[in-house]
Amino acid sequence: MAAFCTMKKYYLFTILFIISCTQKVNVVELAEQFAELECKAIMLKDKRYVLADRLREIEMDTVTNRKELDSLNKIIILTKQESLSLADSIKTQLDYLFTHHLRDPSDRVAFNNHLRKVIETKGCIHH
Amino acid sequence: MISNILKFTYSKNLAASIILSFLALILFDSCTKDSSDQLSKTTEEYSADFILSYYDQICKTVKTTPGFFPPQAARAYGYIGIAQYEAVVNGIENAKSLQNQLNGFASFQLPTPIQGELYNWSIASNAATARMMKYMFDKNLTPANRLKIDSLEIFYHNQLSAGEEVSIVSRSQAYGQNIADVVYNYSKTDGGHESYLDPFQLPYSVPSDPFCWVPTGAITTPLSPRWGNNRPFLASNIQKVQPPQHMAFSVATNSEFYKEAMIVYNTVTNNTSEQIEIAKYWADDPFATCTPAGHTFNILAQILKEERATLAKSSLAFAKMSLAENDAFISCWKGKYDYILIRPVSYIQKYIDANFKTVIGTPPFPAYTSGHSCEMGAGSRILSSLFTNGSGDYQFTDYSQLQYGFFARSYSNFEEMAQECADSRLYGGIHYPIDNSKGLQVGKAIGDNVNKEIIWPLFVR
Repeated sequence: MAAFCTMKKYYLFTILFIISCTQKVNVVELAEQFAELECKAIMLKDKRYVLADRLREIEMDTVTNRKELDSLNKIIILTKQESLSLADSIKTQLDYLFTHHLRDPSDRVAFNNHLRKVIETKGCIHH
Repeated sequence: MISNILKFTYSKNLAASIILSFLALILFDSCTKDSSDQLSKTTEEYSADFILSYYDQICKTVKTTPGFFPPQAARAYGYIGIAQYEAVVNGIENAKSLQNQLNGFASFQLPTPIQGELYNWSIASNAATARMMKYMFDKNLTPANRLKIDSLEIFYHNQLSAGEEVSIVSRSQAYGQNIADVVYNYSKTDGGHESYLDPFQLPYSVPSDPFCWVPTGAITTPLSPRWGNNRPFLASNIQKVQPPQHMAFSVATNSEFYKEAMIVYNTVTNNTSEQIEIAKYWADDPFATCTPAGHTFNILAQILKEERATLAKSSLAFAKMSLAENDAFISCWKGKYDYILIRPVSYIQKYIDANFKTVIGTPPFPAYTSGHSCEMGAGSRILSSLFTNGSGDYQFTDYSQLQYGFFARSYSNFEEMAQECADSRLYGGIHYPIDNSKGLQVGKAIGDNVNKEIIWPLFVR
């Protein structure tokens, strides 16, 4: 605090910085940039569910070839690693966006709504 | 629409900027005042940024540490939450240590701050949290996760120590570490110590009665059958809060049991795409998440960030949630193995439709009651106590699942969120309605109990 107090000459700069940061919220642009990562996450999620379903089928089928189970488990491990790594990236990006650009809850909601639209347009969602 | 939002946001932000400018002026004004009292900071004067970073890391650690199933994860969160709270409790006005309030904790002597000496509570909390994390994941902690925890600890220790007297830094750090040591010793006696090494608690034989659980996949023995014997943080959470006997098992088509199974069958058969999304959203899905308890802690952390909560408020919040989540899982698991109820998928395939398939995988343990409903019921009551006047009314959006490929979901009440979580288990086809309703009831009772039975500090910012 003491050091901060000595930096009065930076006061004006600080205020200008705050103003410039708070005025440049462009949720449309941010959502479009973020959509690529989220699209990958959605596809990976779908893949995880497909793999989980297949695993269940194989597990319940007592005559299944052991090799098929082993090969499926290998794919599951790789998909898990890919998912965890992507989740980390998304979390980091999102924290950055929320800290630096989307401080206001209404901006976040607008961002989320636009993200959905962009992703639907990109065709990442399969029902 | 978007441009309107932006125009609205722009004018709002301009107003916010002006307000911020005034706040900055006030801040500078305060710089000229006598700063001699800054040495005796209370916990409310510290930022919560570092503790929130640890909770992000706990989630990541749960996801990547073998043996951390939902009960084990809730326990890890539980004891870390106690350690971080005890490390700062003496810096929160009117706060009381949990030592004489938690089941069996009184016989473990926590260190007390040295009279007349000054402490930096954030440094103490940093040290306690990092050490407790390493204890709770201990033998299965990967080198990468250990390195991340060490890095966080060093980074924040340096940041929080800046400008602080060396003696205060070392005293505070040692105090936090000693707190973690004592809480860890306490944890060793609860019945769940190192349970991540043997989460299935073998050997265990499931009775062969027709109402009993049978395997629903490759795992032939159910998860953690003796978890219900663990010591809860509050004995009353087990003694006073247990689900009633479920409806009598029957295969008669006019029986209550059959009707419950038919509700599951019809729901899954007629699920909307929204219901399927909800089932997967709350499933804390295969292979990749930090379990239901972790999801609830993520929601709490997000709200604390949004509220710009201080270290005092955040520590209190994590402590409350820790007690509730740990005990919700013990209570729920006790019920599961008191009743050992068959899962809907097993019943339906045997007595209704052999080709029935659930939306999500059925986890390997008995049905009654639903773990998700218990834990989120408990969590909803803690969230209500922290952020509302008890009504639960709170407008928020859960962004924590975006990282797993789900859109954020919005709620206007914590109870509404808990109900959706409970319903998701029906949509998924893995629980009878009664598992969810009674689970929610038990969980809420546990949350209320944690709020009432512990002497928590009031009006913490």
